[in-house]
Amino acid sequence: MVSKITTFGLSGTRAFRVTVETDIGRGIPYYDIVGLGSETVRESRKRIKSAILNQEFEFPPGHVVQNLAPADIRKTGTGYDLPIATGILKAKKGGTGATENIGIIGELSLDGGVLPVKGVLPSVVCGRECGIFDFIIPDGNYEEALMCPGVYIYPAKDLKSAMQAADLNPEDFRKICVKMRESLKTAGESSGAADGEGSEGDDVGHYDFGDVFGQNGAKRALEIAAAGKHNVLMTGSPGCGKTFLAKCFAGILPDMCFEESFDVMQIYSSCGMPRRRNEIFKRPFRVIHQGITRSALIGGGKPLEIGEASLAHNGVLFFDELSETPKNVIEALRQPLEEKKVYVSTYGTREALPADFIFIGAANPCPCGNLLEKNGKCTCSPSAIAGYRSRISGAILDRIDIKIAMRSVGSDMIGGKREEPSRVIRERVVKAREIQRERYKGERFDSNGDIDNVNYVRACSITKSSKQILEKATDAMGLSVRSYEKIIKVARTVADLDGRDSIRDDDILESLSYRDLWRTGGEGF
Amino acid sequence: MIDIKKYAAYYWLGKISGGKRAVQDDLMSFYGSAEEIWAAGQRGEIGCKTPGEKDGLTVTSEDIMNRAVEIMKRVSKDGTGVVSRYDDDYPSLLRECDGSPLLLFYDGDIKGVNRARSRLAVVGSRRCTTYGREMCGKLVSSLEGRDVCIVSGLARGIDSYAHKAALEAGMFTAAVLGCGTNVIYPGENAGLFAKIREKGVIISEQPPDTQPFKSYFPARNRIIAGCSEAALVIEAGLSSGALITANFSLNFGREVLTIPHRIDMPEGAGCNDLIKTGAVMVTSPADILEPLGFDCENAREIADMLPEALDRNQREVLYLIKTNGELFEDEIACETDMSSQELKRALSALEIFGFVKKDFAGKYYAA
Repeated sequence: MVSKITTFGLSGTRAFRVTVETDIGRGIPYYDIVGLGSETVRESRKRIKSAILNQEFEFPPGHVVQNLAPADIRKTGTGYDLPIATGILKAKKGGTGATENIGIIGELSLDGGVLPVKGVLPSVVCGRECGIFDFIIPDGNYEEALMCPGVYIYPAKDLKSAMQAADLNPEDFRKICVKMRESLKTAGESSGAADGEGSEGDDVGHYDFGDVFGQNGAKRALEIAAAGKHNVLMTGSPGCGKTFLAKCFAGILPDMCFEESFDVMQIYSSCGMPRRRNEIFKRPFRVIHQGITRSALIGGGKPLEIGEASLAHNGVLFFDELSETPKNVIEALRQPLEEKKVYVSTYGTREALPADFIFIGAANPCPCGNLLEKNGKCTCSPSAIAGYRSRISGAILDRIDIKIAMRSVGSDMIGGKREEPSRVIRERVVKAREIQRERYKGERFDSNGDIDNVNYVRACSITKSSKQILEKATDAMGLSVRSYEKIIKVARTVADLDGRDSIRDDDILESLSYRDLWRTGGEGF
Repeated sequence: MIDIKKYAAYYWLGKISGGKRAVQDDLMSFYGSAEEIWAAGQRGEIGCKTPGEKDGLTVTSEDIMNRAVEIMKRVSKDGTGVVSRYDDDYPSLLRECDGSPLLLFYDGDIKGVNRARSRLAVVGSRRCTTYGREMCGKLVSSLEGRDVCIVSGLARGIDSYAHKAALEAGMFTAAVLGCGTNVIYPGENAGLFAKIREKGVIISEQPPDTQPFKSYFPARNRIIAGCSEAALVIEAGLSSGALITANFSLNFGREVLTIPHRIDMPEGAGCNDLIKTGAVMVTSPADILEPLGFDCENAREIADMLPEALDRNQREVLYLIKTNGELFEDEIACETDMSSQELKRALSALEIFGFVKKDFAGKYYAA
């Protein structure tokens, strides 16, 4: 008697379809699972046996063999527990054809309870693509699974309820799913008000530009970065507020649209850290430090781990103490900064993970950190500074549009009048983004920071006098041809923030002030 | 148009008094004007010293007057000018000096010399080194925006570079020649000559058409020294004419500045000697400002001299940078009411136009 159950395996942030085939034959009691399962899958035999018994089912006394097809793809994770257990029970009963049309995923505890697993949302998405619209998933993953439209989700608390649901005919199954969804919605609405306030409080509210005294130049730069999706490098003395400002940055970003948040949710689901319902549309903000390894940054390993670069997808990757980081780690950022993707190899396959983020780097200006402070506080030799700065290569610097220098705020600035709150800045950013989205309608990008060559020519034309300014600047500031384009891109965003169609001289001038400061050039006399 | 009679009389007075200033002053205070003196000479009230015989001809007082009228007609026709020591437009510093010429012929804006806040003579060898040329350009252009008149002699070498740098920086410049104001010498300076005539002034004590002559040049140097508060000797060998200018400056009680040179280079030996004997050694632009009477601490004064081409924000920022030396953007932000984007624009503009520079740490300083 062979039963077939549909489930899903996870590779990176995408799921693939797996069929659990169960054959119960006569013979000496024997139980094995084949199909290139990793140790976690092989271990599941023990859990499944206990769970089946503890849920008062009977484990078939015979020659039980299960296969995870396709058998040539490595399978890891614990999400196979529930489909395997369901497969055994179905096979024992004699199987009904309908089960293959339900996607089942979940881990089992020894008492038969269903535990949440990684990658439920990608699995549901994958299932929908394969023409499967009914799913039984762990109760703990219900919220993320509901993000996927057009499917029927049954959240299983234990093996027994999962079996009951799997035995229903499709119409009844769907009716129950709709009912459950509606009851969750009403429950959500009754507690929604309190919920919403809480989310506002711990996300945007905690770090607000209104609490930062001074540093107006840096704030303006971050506003532009948020409006045009430009990468930023903040150079500044220790304690001048780089980290704080970067954290405030999250509060001025526009919310994600559904598609964006859906992508993000899939990534987070693949890592087993689904985002809370009240923050689904908030852009991710990932903070990393100098101690991070290359694979933690971009992902990789066996089994495949998602890196911070992908976790920051559609959001912000804030790299603190960038210049203290080993060069090979920083260099790993080249690919995501350029292609908005990271490529990682695992088990002989090459996976492309999305990694489209705004990069914010913070660095000290010199080894001692005090170069920008007056009164000769800095004790570094010029060669030490040059060596320190060379850790961030030109390739990385080229991909950073905005560079700013920051210094500690004088004590007289502290406690002055309250500054412009994030809320107001955010409104301007949202408007500028809308203008860009309108302009780049139908393209595969929606911001000035990601503009391609064709649109660059169309959107970033400048007047003759602006051109003259840039030519003069090329002489006076020693601009490279490459930085030319960056300056115009940033100027485009400045104009968008003002709601203007054309780029003015003033925009170019402001944009010029964000140009490269990092490289130690030779200045004479 | 000039008053031909009046200046012809001055010219005549200069000749018959033997160029002696005391005699001229006495006669002027007695008769009140040059024309009166001429009339008195006609009446025989005063004795006229004439050069006597020349080429077998006796030059009389009338001959001199006729020549004078000719010269002034020529000046009038050319549209150039002449000014006497008793006129207001005469360079006032030169007036104070012993042996200042009674008449100065000029082409351009003579008033500019007095109008400038300070005047700096910049002199040096005709055959100059690269070092001399570069330092000349750097030091002169460092005075940009400060309303200083650069006085020099339009000779080859340092003189030309000083004029050029001054013109490039938009400063007023006066070229004092050892020949007539319509004689271009050396010929290769024709372009520069035209520019100075247009934007500055060309001065000579020689009447038009006078060809350059050896002895005219030291005399020219005395005018250069006399016109200026200080003389900056960029480069001078041990027998350079620039040292003559320096000597005049010392005698007139003016400051002598110079830059140090390598001790094994004969081209700069004269400058090093000047330092040894007490000239001001210039190693930075600030060293020039003080002898010229600039109070570097007084911020307002600098602000007043900022270039007019800049807008209000740019002037304010430039003023802050010039008064503080080195500033970070946030320090400037603290001192102004500008929004950060206005400030950034102003800084970029100043940087592009070469008024300020930004170092790799993000510090702005006056260029």
